[in-house]
Amino acid sequence: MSGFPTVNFSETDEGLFTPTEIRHLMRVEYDRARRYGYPAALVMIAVDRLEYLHDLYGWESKEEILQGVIKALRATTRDSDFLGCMQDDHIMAVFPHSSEETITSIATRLLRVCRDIDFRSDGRSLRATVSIGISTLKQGGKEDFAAFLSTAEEALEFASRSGGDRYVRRESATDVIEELRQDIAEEAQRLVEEQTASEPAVAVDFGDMPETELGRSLRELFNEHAHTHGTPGILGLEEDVVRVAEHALFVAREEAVQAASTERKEQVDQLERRVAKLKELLDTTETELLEVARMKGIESGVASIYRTVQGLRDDEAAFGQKKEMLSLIFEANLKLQKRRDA
Amino acid sequence: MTEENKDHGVLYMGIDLGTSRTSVSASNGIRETVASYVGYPKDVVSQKLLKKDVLFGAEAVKHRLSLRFYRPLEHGVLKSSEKGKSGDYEENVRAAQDLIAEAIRLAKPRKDELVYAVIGAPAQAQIHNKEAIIDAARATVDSVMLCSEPFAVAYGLDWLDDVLVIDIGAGTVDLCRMHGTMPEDTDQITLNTAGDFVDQQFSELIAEKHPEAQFTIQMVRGIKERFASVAAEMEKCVVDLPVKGKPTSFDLTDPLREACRRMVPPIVEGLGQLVATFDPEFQGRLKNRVLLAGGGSMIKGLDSAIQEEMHARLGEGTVVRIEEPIYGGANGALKIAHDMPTDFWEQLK
Ligand SMILES: Nc1ncnc2c1ncn2[C@@H]1O[C@H](COP(=O)(O)OP(=O)(O)OP(=O)(O)O)[C@@H](O)[C@H]1O
Repeated sequence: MSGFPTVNFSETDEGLFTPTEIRHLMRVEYDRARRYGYPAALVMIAVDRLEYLHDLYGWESKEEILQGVIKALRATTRDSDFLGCMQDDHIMAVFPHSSEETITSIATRLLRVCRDIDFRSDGRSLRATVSIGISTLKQGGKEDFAAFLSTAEEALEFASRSGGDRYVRRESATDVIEELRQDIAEEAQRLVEEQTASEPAVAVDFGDMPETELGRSLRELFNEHAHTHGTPGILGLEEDVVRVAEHALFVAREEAVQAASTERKEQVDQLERRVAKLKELLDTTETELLEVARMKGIESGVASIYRTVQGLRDDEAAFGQKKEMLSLIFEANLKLQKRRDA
Repeated sequence: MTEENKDHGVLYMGIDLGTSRTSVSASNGIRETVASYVGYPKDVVSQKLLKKDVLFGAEAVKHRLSLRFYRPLEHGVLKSSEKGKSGDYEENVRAAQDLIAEAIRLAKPRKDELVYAVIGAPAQAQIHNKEAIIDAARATVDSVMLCSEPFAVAYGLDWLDDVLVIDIGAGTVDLCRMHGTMPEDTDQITLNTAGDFVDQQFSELIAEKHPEAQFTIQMVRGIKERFASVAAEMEKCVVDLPVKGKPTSFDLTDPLREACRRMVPPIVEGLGQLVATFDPEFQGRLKNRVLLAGGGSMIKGLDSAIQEEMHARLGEGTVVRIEEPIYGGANGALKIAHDMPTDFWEQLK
């Protein structure tokens, strides 16, 4: 058994913990990291095109290759504590306390080691590469384990669809969005506070208007006039003018306040629309990235399973007969080529 | 095994070049299939719109009206020159070449790997066709060989001795007798009563029974591929076809069964010929080792129907449908590529 008591990659549940128990421990470990705010990483590893290996070479080679990858993982993670088990045909491992750098350097090493392994199946020299999906929990991340797991799965899918032989690290998108959302909520709150602060604490009431600057100067003006010209009729006018002027002033002020608050509300709305849009953007970006990755995969190509030129093995069924047939095919093609070149 | 190539990845590829579809199966695990259609934009405007110089498969079909459109392997061979139409032939060859290049691209070869390909060509491909195919492939691969398609199917399954292969494609049914060596011309019979023939028969039967129904051959093929069966107890084939533009429900179960069944007698007739001209001592064995392959073999119950007809006409017969009709040829070609000795590949470089 391995040096890790919390690792069980067997199909048979042998080991200190069964894979089911390990999966439970992973969750516990993850929750702890989240609670106490230390980093953690989940790694999902898949052998590229494993199902085709099965089609081409049968089950033994598939098992053999999986075991080879597990061995490589053990070798590359000698210094780290982790929990590991199989999840369908994927290798799943949780690394508590591992920073982003640690985990990406493990992934890089693992890719290299796997690339170099000479898998042998049935006397043939095969090669296999792996895809690795990593999701990391940042300090303060809130996401639950299920989301953490599906982020790693997405990253893995992304890695294998991009042609394999690579790792992809993802932060939890929901945590990122959550962060964004909080920022925006704070911003909106600030705006609301500002808005209430600047609102006048006055109810507009014509009967009981407090004296304003404008009113006072108007009255002074009238007084002056009344004294110099002594026209009593003007006194009645005074009241009316002050009233109308003050009313106009209040209306104008109220309109200004209203306009300012509408503007703020618009700003808030706009911010909210931006949040929605950003979220939408995230979704589409993801799809687009997958597409781009897929196209990239075409450019770099997908490595063959074979390391060397093969040829018919002499212990193969009907060896002699096949050899003769192959020679005939070859000769016919050689003839064709000579004709062509002539 | 030579040491010099050590650590130099080798990508083996098997390609099945067919009338209706071209499939590729490669040693990096990739399996792809593309409908054997090629189209080139008719003019600069369409080219600008489509943003491509050449389109393949379903995409070509979709834009066919703005394309010069080719089905380069009609009837299983590169459409050959009809007198006075040599320009057409050239274009067809070019389309075939582009199609092969596309199939190879689909397998995503890496630039740092050697690529060795075996192409399963229609059994009756003519010499100049073969040359064109090889030319096309050599542009992209390091070494290429051709072999006959039914042979590839049988080789892929390790059925080498005393086997009859029935490969039902769109344009042709290829019957091929295997007896331990490479099949020769006398071991092969090609019939035209294949998938396209069934589509034709089915259309006629529908038109006869429901003259008011409107349909195209593409619709008929789609219905066939969804429901095709020769079994007495088959899933009801009820579909909507327009009548004066209005969708109307039709039960096409009987016409479909009938059309599919019409394929059986010519096949058994052909099998009978291949059996009769075989060493009498092994005729019994041959009749009981019949492999059914190709897209057309997906008609439900076809294996049993052929088997029954063989019992009636030839006294006995056992028919086995291969597991993966679509990739049978490509997988077999891949196996041949893989088993081929290194120095053979190198001599053909
Ligand atoms: N599910 C299905 N049921 C019945 N027929 C089907 C089904 N799927 C495909 N076909 C038919 O199979 C035929 C195509 O077979 P295939 O792809 O093997 O041909 P091909 O190799 O391109 O042709 P050829 O051998 O003539 O060159 C078509 O006629 C198609 O309609």
